Amino acid sequence: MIPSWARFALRRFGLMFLTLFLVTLAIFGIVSAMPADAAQFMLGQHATEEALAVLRARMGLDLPAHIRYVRWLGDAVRGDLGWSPYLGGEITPVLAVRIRNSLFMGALGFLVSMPIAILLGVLAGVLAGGFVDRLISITSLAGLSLPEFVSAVGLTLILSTWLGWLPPSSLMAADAYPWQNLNRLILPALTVTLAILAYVARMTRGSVIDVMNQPYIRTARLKGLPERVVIFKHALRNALLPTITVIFNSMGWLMGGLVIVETFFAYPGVARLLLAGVERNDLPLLQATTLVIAVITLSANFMADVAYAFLNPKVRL
Amino acid sequence: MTNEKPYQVQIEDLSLTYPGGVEALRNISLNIHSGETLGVVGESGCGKSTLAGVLVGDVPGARNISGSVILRGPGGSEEDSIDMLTASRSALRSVWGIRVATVYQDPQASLNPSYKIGDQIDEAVRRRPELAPDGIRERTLQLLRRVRIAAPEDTTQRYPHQLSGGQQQRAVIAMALAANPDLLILDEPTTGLDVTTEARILDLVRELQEEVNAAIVFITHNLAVIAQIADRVAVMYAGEVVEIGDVRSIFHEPSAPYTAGLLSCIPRIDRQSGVEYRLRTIPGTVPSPDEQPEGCLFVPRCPFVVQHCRENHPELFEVAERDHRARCFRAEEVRVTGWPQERLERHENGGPENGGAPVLEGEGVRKEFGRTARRYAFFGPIVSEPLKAVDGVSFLLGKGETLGIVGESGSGKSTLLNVVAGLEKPTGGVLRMGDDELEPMVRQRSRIMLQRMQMVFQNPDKSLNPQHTVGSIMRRAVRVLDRQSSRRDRRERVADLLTRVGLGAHYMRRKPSALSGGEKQRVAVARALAGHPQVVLADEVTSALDVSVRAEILNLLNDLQASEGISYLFVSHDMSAIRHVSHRVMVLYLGLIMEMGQVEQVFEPPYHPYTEALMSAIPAPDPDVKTKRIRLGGELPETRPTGCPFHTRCPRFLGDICVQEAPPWQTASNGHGIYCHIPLEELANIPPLMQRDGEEEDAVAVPRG
Repeated sequence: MIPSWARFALRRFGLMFLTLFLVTLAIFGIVSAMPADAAQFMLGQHATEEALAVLRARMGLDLPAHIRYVRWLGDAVRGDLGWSPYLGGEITPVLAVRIRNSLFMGALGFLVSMPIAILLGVLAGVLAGGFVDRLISITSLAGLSLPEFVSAVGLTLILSTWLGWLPPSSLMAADAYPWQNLNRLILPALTVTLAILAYVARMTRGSVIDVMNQPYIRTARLKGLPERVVIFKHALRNALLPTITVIFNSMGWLMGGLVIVETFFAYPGVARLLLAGVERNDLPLLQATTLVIAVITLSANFMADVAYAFLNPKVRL
Repeated sequence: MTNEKPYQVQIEDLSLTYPGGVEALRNISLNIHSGETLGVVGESGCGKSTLAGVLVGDVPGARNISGSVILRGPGGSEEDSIDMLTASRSALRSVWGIRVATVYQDPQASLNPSYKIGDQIDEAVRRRPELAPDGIRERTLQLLRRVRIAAPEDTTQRYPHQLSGGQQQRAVIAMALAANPDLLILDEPTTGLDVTTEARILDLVRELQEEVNAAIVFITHNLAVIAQIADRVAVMYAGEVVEIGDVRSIFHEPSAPYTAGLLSCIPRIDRQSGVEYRLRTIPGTVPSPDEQPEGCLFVPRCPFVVQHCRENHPELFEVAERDHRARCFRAEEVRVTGWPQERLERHENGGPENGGAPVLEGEGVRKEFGRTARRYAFFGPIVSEPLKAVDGVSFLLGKGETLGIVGESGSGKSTLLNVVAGLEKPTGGVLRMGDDELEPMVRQRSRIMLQRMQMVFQNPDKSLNPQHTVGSIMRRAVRVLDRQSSRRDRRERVADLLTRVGLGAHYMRRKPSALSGGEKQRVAVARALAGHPQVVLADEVTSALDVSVRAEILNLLNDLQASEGISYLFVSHDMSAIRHVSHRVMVLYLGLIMEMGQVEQVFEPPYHPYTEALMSAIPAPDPDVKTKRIRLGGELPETRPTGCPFHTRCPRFLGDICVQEAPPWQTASNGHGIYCHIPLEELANIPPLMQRDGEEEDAVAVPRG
């Protein structure tokens, strides 16, 4: 007998692929619906018909849409994301490095900020109504309301310009590994997860308060258990369930923040590549990065659901 | 009898106020002996649960507490006495789970959803490891056996949501017993459970009373439960104890008017009842705890009131017997005369018109819920196992008639009602109103059909929009059913409807939150009356209401039937309410009719073994009336068994014939049918269930695999 959470995971996995399929259709559809195609973008408005035709034939743009779609998808599955005029070469190797960089920064940010967020949230929730709670709540509300470009400026100003602790830019050599320049990563990682930190702290606080008012907490107290056991054993396990979902789900949110943060700190990540694709009208690059970002977001959501199902015995089919 | 035993708890002059000057408890003094069960009874808002909190020293949000609550040491010794009100948190913690244990109303919520039952009980056992010489888990298993859980090993490995409500409550009780507490507090432990489950939990509590020497405080709003379980009873009203004494003297000679009133407003299953009798009621409502009248708190509702009562606050006076005290200046008079007889009018309810055409007819009504799943999560063949919620039920409802529908949860009674109302699409069968066939879904039905049939739901808090005033809720109902009406018409009509349900036009400006439970349910009834319905579908309409309010609503339904000839389909799990309002009764089990007939026919032998078990599960509101114990083994099966659907739990199981063959529909007498293999003569010879102080003859069913 397969455990119920595994069955759930299996089904959810299938659904993820269905969603992914629809996403590929959407990406391809939007790009195809544009009045000018990739060849036109590359050669500019004044290109001759002959030149366009030659380039189209080389890029396979003269084929019917469904065949192009199948080819694009087939290549993508095999790991070939096409050829980018902006990069002047294959997209896949460049994108892989960029994704590694972005994921590394995101992971670093999460690793640093999530324990802080949970700690603050639990503290505020357990001490709900007191001074500590109010301080945490107000600060986190402020953190949540600040857009990344403001918090980026603020943090740079404080940590770099005034205190001089960290370099203001994350620019690094193209072949450098991000973990060789950890000090350059802290500022962007902090900025991009600041809003998520605040959000997770607030969600944790809410769910801790909610759980602390549940009858089973009263049961645990009236068993004579020390308050520490009541909180850490009985309350937190239930209170952190929704928090975990929130953390995984906010990975999608992270992608939005990355566009701004990577630009601001000149960090060579996937979001900056996406932006370059947009600026240079590089359709293959745009398609490839969007697809990869969609895959990352969907996997994060998938992991969120599975983690929740695994931790919560009540989620059944 | 119990008074020779030492005190376990002494409460002296206890008062408690919530912020805003709300007095939840007023000058309570009482003692609880070790080894006795003190029943605490009263309607909602009387301070019962606050008292339970004070007994463990845990009342969140309480402002001023005065007096003392002394918990004495084991066996009532003075040595380890502790005042629960002044003790420090750590002192309380050393008492909790060792000397005091509590069981609350909702067992599902009292258990931590993410730990296995075994681990949660282990935790309580570990508080006193000296009681577990053979290891913690062994003691946990012993406790589970003690609360009669059939498969203890298996149960320890389960999560709370994998157990039924009854099993959950047993597990909670096991947890409370873990440390052999001196004081055991049971706060509404059976409220919200099915009648048959409630009966088995009460059996368990009675068995435990014999085994443990703890003082037990049993809090409930249900007088019948108290009558069957308590040694002494404390009746609470508006934060005061208004009467206290031995259970027999309280039930036989109630001396505080409130107690007398409460006792007289329960529909009695053990006595003559029915639509032609009007239930007695207590006028008015429990005063909100922030009102502080000078005299007796019960003055506004009391038929015995004299000028003296308005000016002076009564003490708890001794009544005839020793240790029976009542808070009333005229206690002696109340004791002798009882709640005024003149309020006991007869209804002019003629009952159904004989020979008339039925107003509502159902023929072979079916509702199956498709339960389909892929065999392997997402792949594999589709396996379908439809759940037959209602399986070919036919019924007739005459003009001015009430058909009561009764059964456990899961019997299909609410589904049947929803199908009739058009809220669920039937999978078979025909519904007719008069000569017109009803469309299956409510959206397809014509306005005239909608006018002719209306529904009242269980919980008025959820069925009335809290953002709107009563007036706008009502006007909307009138407008939907009568588009032509002018604004002025509608206003008048709403005023008229509110008057008819006994509320009056001034209620129009109020919002539901400003109404009491009974008033809200009256508004819900008034709304159903908006279109002059012929049929009203009532789904557990009295289940969420207090005793005195329930009596009011039952009377209201009867009055409206008498004056307007409305017919009711009255669904309830409450057999006494069913007996009181119904002309005919249908007993459902797993979507099939087990028995159907006139109310007297169903409630007297011969009855179907299921009906018998349902009736046996109902405690009689009289300590001297013992109901023969017929308990259903096991839980309601998920899929319907072969042969007779009831055979897996039937206390009168015959043998193979019940497993293999569907029973015949036996007609006992005119219009009375029983779906059972047992010959009618044999069923007719079953002795009556209720016995006054007779010998108990137990027949406990053993579940068969």
